Amino acid sequence: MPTLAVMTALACLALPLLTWLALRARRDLTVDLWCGGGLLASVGFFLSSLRGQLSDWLTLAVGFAFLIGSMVARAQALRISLAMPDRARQMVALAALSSLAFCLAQWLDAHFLRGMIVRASVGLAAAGLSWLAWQLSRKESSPAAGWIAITYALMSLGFLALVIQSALAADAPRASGWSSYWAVPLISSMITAVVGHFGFAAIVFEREKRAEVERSRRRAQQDESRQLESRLRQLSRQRDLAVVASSLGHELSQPLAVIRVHAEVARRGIARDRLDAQRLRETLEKIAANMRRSAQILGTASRFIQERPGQRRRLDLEQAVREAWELLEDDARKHGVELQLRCGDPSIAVCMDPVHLSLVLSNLLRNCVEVLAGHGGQRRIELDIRQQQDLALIRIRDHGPGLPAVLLGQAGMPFRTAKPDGLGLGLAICATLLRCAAGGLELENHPEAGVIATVTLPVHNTQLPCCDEPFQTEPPARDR
Amino acid sequence: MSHSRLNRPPVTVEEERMAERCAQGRVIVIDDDDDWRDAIAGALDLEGYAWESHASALSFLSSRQQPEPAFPGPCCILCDVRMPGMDGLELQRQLLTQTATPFLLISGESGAREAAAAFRAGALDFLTKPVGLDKLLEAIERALVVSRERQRRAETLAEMGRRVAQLTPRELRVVRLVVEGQTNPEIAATMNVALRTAKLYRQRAIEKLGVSRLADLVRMADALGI
Repeated sequence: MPTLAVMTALACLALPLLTWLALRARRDLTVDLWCGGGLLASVGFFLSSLRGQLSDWLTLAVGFAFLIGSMVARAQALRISLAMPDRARQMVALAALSSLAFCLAQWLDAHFLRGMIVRASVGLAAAGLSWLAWQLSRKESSPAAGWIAITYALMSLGFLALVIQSALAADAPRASGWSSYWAVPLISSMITAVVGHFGFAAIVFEREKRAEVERSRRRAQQDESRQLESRLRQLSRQRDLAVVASSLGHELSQPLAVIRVHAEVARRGIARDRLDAQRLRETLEKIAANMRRSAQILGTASRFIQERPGQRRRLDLEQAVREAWELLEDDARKHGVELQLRCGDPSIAVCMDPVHLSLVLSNLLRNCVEVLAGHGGQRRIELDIRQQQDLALIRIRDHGPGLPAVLLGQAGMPFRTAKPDGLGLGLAICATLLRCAAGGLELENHPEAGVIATVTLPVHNTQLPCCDEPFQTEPPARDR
Repeated sequence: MSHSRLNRPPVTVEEERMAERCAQGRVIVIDDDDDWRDAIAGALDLEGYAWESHASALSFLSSRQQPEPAFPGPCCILCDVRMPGMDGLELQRQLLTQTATPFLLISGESGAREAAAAFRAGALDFLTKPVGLDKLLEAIERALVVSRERQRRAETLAEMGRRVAQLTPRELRVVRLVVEGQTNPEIAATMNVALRTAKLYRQRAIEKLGVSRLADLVRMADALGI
């Protein structure tokens, strides 16, 4: 019998070590606990094998404590795997309680009681482990865990059978020391050690494989969603283009209609000899002027349509406003319009395509100049740049007649224009460009006079590099 | 647009020319596009029409407050649908009750809904830009024919009104009874006058109204609602 105990001890030593080494790369707390539990069992069996040579206190009591401890460690490993609530303290307390009971029996020299305590507690612990392993096998649909559950169930049955048997044969005289009773626990421990460790390694490998599958599934999903996102972006771009195209058609119909009338006047006049050279020249000049107007409309549209990826830069707002104003200054001076620029903070920067920002600012400012040029009131544009949390606000106010209420809500839509020869495209383009830079445009009438146009743009953080990819709101989460 | 018409003969050569143009027809162009107004003005000049142009519906409406020199002749309005401020359809609705001047609408795009609304409100035509000059002038000519017809009818009516105003109350009463179909003795009995007196009233009324036949008298009384 001692030989069997030593063999069991050796098996319980070698297998956990092997398992631990095999799983070294993937070890976590559950692997440590499981293999540590095996080592504890090994110590327990080794102490048991020395029975008779050393005091029973050391061999049996301490050995039993180690054995129960090993089962607690394994139970804890399984509970962590199952993500069950932490009951480590309660389990250790139970193990300590049974060890104390054993010591008490030992102290009283009650051999029968001692044996019953060992068999009952190990049997119950094995039943618990079996139940946990069964849960794990169901949860992860792992056959290895199922095998562990079966061996622990067999072990538990063996021990409980022993309890019943010894209870029935309580009166029979029993030799102290090694008895055939020991065969059952030792052999079943050996089997559980073998199955348990191989099974546990298998569980870990299974889990890893599953994680791999899950990862690749998620990656596929991400790829798909990224594709979808780019398709959406394309769609939204197509919609923007459709907006441009429809307003382009509308805007072009005006100069084309004019050209057609002029041309037909010229044709009729010449045919009936009622158009002198002077009138004819004027008519042709008007045709040319309207051709230029058409070309301008087309130019604005094509500037907008042109794809300009990766052009975002960090831009200082005040500087951008000054540059945009410079382009308009001649015109403004001619009409006596002045710009009053107020910058609250020292310097507010945004991240945007410089051409886009300049288009937006010059468009809005030109609107103001044109409105004020034909208006009797104050010829002043007030522009202030402020920061409100993460947003840069550019507030542009003119002192013109204001917008009709109908137009206020529709500003930024194509076709909507309050200007006699307006493109109706300007604000639509501004709104789209700002939207691309995660900003916005709002128009409202000032309670006294004029229109307030408010541009919002996210403030650019100096610590971060400027994002080059337009439309991207958050970087896609990537796997290592 | 009788309010803006001069009731004096043309004096200068320019006025003479203007009067000639007005007689052929006067087109009021309302459009927010300067170039378009300019082009149409050129075409109308060439065709010998008189024209006036306005950049918005409001400027047109305010111009109607103070009469400006214009000579008799048919008149029509050529108005853009989409304009800032008051649009063409709104202007048409407002004018509906005020004037019989034919209304032509022109739009930058073919809006079926707008066209339907325009026709329901009595627009004579709905054109879309870019429109051929032939088609445009044709539409204008049709509108001017309608205008001429309406003016003629209005003038006849006004003239008849003036004549009716010359009748004494008794003569008017006789006319009413004649229109009702009473004979001279019946009229004399109704009015309690001598037959000769009734005949005299009737004769004077017919002279003042300038009608020769009984049928004309009846038609005239109908038109004036006597």
